[in-house]
This record gives sequence, C-alpha cells and structure tokens, in this order.
Amino acid sequence: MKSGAVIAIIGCNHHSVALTEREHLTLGAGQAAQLRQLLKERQIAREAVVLHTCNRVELILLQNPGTTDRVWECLGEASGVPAGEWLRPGFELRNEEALRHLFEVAAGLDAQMVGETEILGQVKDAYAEAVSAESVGVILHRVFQKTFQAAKTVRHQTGVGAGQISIANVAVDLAGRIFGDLRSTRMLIAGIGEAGTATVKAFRSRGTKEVWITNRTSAVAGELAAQVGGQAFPWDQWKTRLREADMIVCSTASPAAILFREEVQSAMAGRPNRPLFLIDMAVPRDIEPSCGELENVFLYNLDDLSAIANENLRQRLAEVETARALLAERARRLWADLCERAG
Amino acid sequence: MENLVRWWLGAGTLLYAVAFVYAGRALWFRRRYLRPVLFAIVGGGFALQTIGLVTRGWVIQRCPVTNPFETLQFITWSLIILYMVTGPAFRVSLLGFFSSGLACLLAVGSLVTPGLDTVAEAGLRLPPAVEGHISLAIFCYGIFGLLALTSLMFLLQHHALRMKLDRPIYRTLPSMHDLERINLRLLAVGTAVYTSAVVWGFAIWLADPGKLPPFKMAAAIAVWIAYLTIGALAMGRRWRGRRLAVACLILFFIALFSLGIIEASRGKMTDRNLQTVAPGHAG
Repeated sequence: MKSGAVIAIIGCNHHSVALTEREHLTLGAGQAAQLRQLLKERQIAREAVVLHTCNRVELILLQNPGTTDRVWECLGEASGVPAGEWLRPGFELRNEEALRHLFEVAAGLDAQMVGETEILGQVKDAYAEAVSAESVGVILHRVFQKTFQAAKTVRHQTGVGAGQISIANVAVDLAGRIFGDLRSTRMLIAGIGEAGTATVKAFRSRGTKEVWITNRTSAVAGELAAQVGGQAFPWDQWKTRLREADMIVCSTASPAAILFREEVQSAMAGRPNRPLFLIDMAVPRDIEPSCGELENVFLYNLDDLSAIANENLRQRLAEVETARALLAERARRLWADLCERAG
Repeated sequence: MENLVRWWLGAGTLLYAVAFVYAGRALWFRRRYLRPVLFAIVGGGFALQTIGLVTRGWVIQRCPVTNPFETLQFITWSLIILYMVTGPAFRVSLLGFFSSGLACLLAVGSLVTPGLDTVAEAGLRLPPAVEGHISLAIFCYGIFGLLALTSLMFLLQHHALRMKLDRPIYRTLPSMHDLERINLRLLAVGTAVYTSAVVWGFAIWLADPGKLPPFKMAAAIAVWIAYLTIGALAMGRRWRGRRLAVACLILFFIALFSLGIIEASRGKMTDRNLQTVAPGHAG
C-alpha cells in the first residue's frame, strides 16, 4: 500500500471478551466521532470507520505504519476506559486478513446468531457516519462498497441467512405463511411466560393489528399490554374471544390443557373459511393436541417450533464454510486489486 | 417450413425447461434464484413459441388452433403470457417456477405425442367470428391453467403447514391468504372470459346450428357450468381454502380432458365448415 499504510482492523468483540467485560468496553456515537477525529488529527490513520455495536467495537483503518499502540491509546482516551483494558482482549488484523474479517462481519458469519442481518445495517451506519465526517477516502470507500456486495452475494448464493432460528420468529414466519400480511390479524395470548412474551413482541414488531393479553394475575397482563401496545382483559373471559382471534398463543403454567377441541370447533363454526393459528408455548401443553386435526386449524407446540428453529440453525451452520470460502476468495481478489492500484 | 415451426416451438419448450430447472435447482440447494433471470428465460421461450405459432398460422393461413398439437401449444402460450403479465404485477413468488414447469409439460406433451399434429389444410379459412370464438375459448384454458397452478401452490402450502414442513420452497411460497385471493380473482376472470366465449359460440350456433356438433356444445357448457358453480360457491363464501383449490385443480384436468373430446370431434367439424366456408378449396 502507498507510503506503507496498511488496512487494519483493531478492536474487540464477543469472541475475544466475555459479556461481563464487554458491558463497559463500549462506545457511544459521540465517542466514536471523537475517536475518528483523534486518529486523523494525530496522523495515526488516513481513513477510519468505527463500528460499534453491543457485541463489538472495531476500528477499520487505513493506518500509518508503527502506530498501533497509539490506536489503543486513542481508543482509551475516547471511551474513558484505560487503553490496557481494551488491549488485553483486543485483536489486530491486517490487510487481506482484515478484509476477510470485515466481509464475514457484514455477512453475519461472525455474529452471535449466525446469519443475522442486523449487523449489515450497523456496518452501513458506521460507514455512513464516517463518510459524513469525511474520514473515508478512496481506499475505504472501495473496501466498503466491496463489503456490501460480498454480503449481498453471500445472502443470495448461500443459505446462511435462510430460515428463522428463534422460536418467536419461527412462529411469526409461520403466521406469515398462513395470513400473509400480519397487519390485519388479531392475536390472543393466554398466560405470560418468557417464550410467550418474546412471541407477542415479535408479532407486534411485524405489525399484528390487535393483541389481547390475559393472565391469571391481571397486573402482569396489564404490564405486558402497556409494553407492546396491546389490550389486557380478565382471565375468566378469555374464551369469549376465540372466534375473533386469528392467532392464539397459550403460555400458562397450568398442569393440564386449558383449550379443548370442542371449544376450538365451536369457535371455528363462527368464523368459516378463516384459518386459526394455535401456538402452544406451554409445558405441559395448554392446547389439546386433537385441535390440530380440525379443518383450517394449524397447531404448533414448543417442540414443533424448536425443531424448525434447530433445523434452520443446522442448515445455516452447514452453509458457513461455503460462505467463508466465497468471502475469502473475494477478499483475496480485493487485496490484490488494492495492491495493484497502489503500484 | 413445418420443420421450422417445430424447431421454434421446440426451442421455446427447451427454454421453459431451462427456466424450470434453473429455479428448481436453486430451490433444491436452498438458494435464492434471481427473478429477473427466470423471467428473461421464460420471456425468451415465449418469444420463440410466439414465432413458432405465428409461422404455423402463416403456413395454414388460420389461427393455429386447428389440431390438438396447436391447441396445447396455444394453451401453453396463453398460460405464459398471463404469467408474464400477472407475475410481476402481483409479485407472486414461485409462480414463474410453476408456470415454466406446466408450460414445459404441456409443450413437451404436444411435441412428443404422436398423432396430435394432424394435417391442417393450407389456405382454408374459417370465418373470423368462429376463429375468434375458438381462440378466446382456448385462451381461457390458459387462465384456468394458471388457476390450477395457484391452487396447487395453495395446497402445497396448506399441506406443509399441516405437516409442519419448513423447507425453503414452502417458506418461499406465497401465503395461503394471498393464494386464495389470487385464486378468487383468476376464477372470476376465467369464468367471465369463458362465459363470453360460450355466449359467442352460442351466437354462432344460433346463426348456423349445423356448425357445432352437440357433444362439443355439451362438453363446453358442462365445463362452463362447473366453473360457474365453483365461482358462485366461492363468492358466496361456501367453498374457500382447500376445498376451492382442490376443485379448481381437478376441474382444470377435466376441462383439458373435455378439450380432448372437442378436439377429437373437430376434424370432422372443421372439414364440414371448410366446405361451407370455402367450398372451392375443400377438395
């Protein structure tokens, strides 16, 4: 690279540091801006992008030679955490290796949940912030454009991001396969366990029109209803809403079933031609299994949802090596191209 | 020239097969396929098939629906043009995959089955009204073919949800709700167009009752009544979902079968018509 500058990634992430330490090794937006400025003013890096998420703080730099110690000092100064604390779990990658790492991060291969897409948005945001702060030049512009292309290619050419791997999102996807757009659907949740709460939040985030929440302890129902913008109602009335709901999530700690075939059959008679999605998140089960035999009723229990989530995760992991090889090849090509341009 | 026609139609069929394999391979290996690529391949097949049908029409100086071979090709062509118009507009996932599959099946069937491409006498014309009626009626089979495909997609999605299957193909299929909406629209449009074809045919029959043999009339009207009945039951919300999809799928194959009966009778009918319309050329 011209004048001996190198492409470097310096920082730490969830692989190198445990959650307890990671909690204070963070950067806010203002601190990231300050860090970029410090790196530039002190002529440590000619170009700099700061990627800071809950799982990683990584500086992507076009770095002047022999300045690595000063990078850690700047990081310590901007974050208010001593440089030594950053340095201990920190890592440094250079040139082709750095490019490969950046590609893998953007493609979701390096994420805690393999194949997640949120990280790509975060990389784009970090790049946009750096562009607006004029701390990106010709080299990192090219590197990031190639990074976004590589991430997109991996999404299209491998199954690394296919299928949902959390139970709540699997349930949302299944509802989507039944109802299409969830914005016209109504959801009823009986009993509020951890899984039930995650599910109702996932449905709400996908735009479910109405959420009715009931629980034996009404205060708990009210609390969740306030959180997700739903409507709480008394436990002893929950079966009066069976006909109106498109999706029913049961997540109580009841030792026996609370929803029976006859009740579902009667509800279905009042809503001809409209499918009903029953999600049983409880162990022991809340919904009588034979409900799933009724026409237009789709019953999934915790095991069913877990099996789908696990299979999707297995498929994603099986794709990781293919994706890595694809990205490694792209990183190699980009590095060769950058070297050639640098003369 | 006849060989050239079959070459164009064969090449079109080959591209439909390529499109089907391209999308099917991607689905099998859990990859996404690029819709524009699939659309372009199907579009290429459609262009070649159009050239083939136009050439055949030019050779026989008639709309190319004079024998079972041409009829199957025309149904395939109608199916694909409908896919090309509705697919991008409604953004129905996998419709291209299924459409190219059915198109390939019908077109290959027409090309390899011996005895379907019976001789169509060159230079002999039917009245434009009769040709228009036949073309419109056969075009409806394209609509009903597409309806059969979306019904099949509905049944696959329904089956997968019941059996708790989560392969990428099922995740890529449109939702049951969206497929049912498409089914209802296609059923309404298909029934309306077929009704106009039947009314048109009835007008021809009124003008000259000898032109249409009774069993052809009976078969066409039976299909029409069947679709009308299903349409009425669906609009009245009595038949929806799986029942509607099964009915549409079965009825399409019955309709195709009835078309076979009509086609089998058409040789005699056409000859008689030709003698009526152009007696000077009949012999």
